[in-house]
Amino acid sequence: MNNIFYEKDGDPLKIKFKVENGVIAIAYTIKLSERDSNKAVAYYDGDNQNPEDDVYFLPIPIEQNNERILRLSATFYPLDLDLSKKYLIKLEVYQRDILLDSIEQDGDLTLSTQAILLFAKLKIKGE
Amino acid sequence: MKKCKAFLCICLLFYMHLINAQEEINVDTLIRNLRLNFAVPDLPAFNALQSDPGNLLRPASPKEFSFIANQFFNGNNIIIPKSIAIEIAPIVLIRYNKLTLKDYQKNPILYNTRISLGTLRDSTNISHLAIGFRTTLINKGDIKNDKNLRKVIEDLRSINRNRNEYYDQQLIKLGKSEEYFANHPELRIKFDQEFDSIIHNTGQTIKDYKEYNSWNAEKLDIAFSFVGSSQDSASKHIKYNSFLAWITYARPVGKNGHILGGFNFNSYKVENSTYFDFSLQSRFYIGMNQLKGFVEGQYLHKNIDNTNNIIGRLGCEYHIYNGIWVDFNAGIYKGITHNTSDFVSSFRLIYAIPGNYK
Repeated sequence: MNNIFYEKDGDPLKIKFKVENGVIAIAYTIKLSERDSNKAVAYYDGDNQNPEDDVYFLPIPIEQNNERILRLSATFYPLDLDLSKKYLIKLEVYQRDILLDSIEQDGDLTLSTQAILLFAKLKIKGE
Repeated sequence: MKKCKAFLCICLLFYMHLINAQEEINVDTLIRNLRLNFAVPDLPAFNALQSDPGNLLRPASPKEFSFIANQFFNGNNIIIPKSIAIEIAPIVLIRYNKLTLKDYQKNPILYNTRISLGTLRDSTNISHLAIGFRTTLINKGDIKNDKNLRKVIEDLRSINRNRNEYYDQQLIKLGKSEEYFANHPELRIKFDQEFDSIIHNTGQTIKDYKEYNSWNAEKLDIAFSFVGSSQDSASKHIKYNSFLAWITYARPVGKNGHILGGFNFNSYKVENSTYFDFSLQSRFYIGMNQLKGFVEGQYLHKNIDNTNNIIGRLGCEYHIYNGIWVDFNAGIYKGITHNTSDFVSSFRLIYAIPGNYK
């Protein structure tokens, strides 16, 4: 699991879901949870067909997000294997519009429903 | 000689492509993915060379690369084809592995636009070179159009939501934390297998959306092509010869039928005079994607001798293997004005990159 470090006294954290490669239909759920439990602090749902930007602000005060875990699960389907044969899906974490880090997965598209599951732990720098 | 070398190069590329494609697939995926290899594509640059009497330009789904050759078999041996053409989707090739749904939705016509190049050496040893452009304006068989896509997204949202709920329920049941889940990938595999089994048993398995990808969907293509001719073997000093334009509309007839209607315009120069031909065509396919028969009728008005002609043909097309098609047809070309009749036939080999090629 990746650790993503942020400034304790900085701006709120922002996450951005992105499909960087692949002509696919995709639905995703991002779960923010406490490290030592499975209880959700927040859920963020979306897909790549709605007009929204797939950008979400994490709860404030931001120090509460220390040690919290981001879980990205996405289910997708290739729309045209003639246009793209590979996918690249990313979840980026920003603070004051500066990219802190990201988690991502790439792979080959097949003519079936595919799913990915990615995790990252948020940590305050220096703690 | 140059034409021969060019043809050998194309054959080599074609063969390498085929080998590469074959390495990547197994029988199960092949059978499923063949659904994407819809129909024999017609290439504007090929049709513009008029090595085939039919003028109908059949709508087809865009492919990054297609190849077509006519008269490649002389009855005993495979020979250098009389005419060959290739078609590419240039923007798809340029943006290969950088393309997303949002990119495509911003300008679908751009991604559907294809360019074709074709050559023909006729019986008087004159070389003809054609360049063609084609785009698809309507494609109801495209899963990417809004109505189809909304249904797919709804399914995906439902499955993804259920999958997440299943993860959460299992974590609670096992008393495991999110961090434990993150650090134990075997747990994820177990949960996914269980979840897939549950949705399969409850009939909620995601569809393969084949109904959106049917070979006989409603389509509208437009295309145009320029043809130049040269009397020397190196195809130097090419002079403008003709301009052709097509519009073709296709719609399904039941589950196994496809009817096409088209119009073709041809402007050409002969000894400093310009002439205009036009033709109306209709073709009806019956069968399934891998094997279809067709019947075709065409009316052609030739401006140069002010004659009216009709063509009637029967034919079939067969998907041999992984993007390779053959098309055979035969019929009668009848000159109404002078009451003449000729037998016409065509045997074509076509290759288009199959959907499963990586």
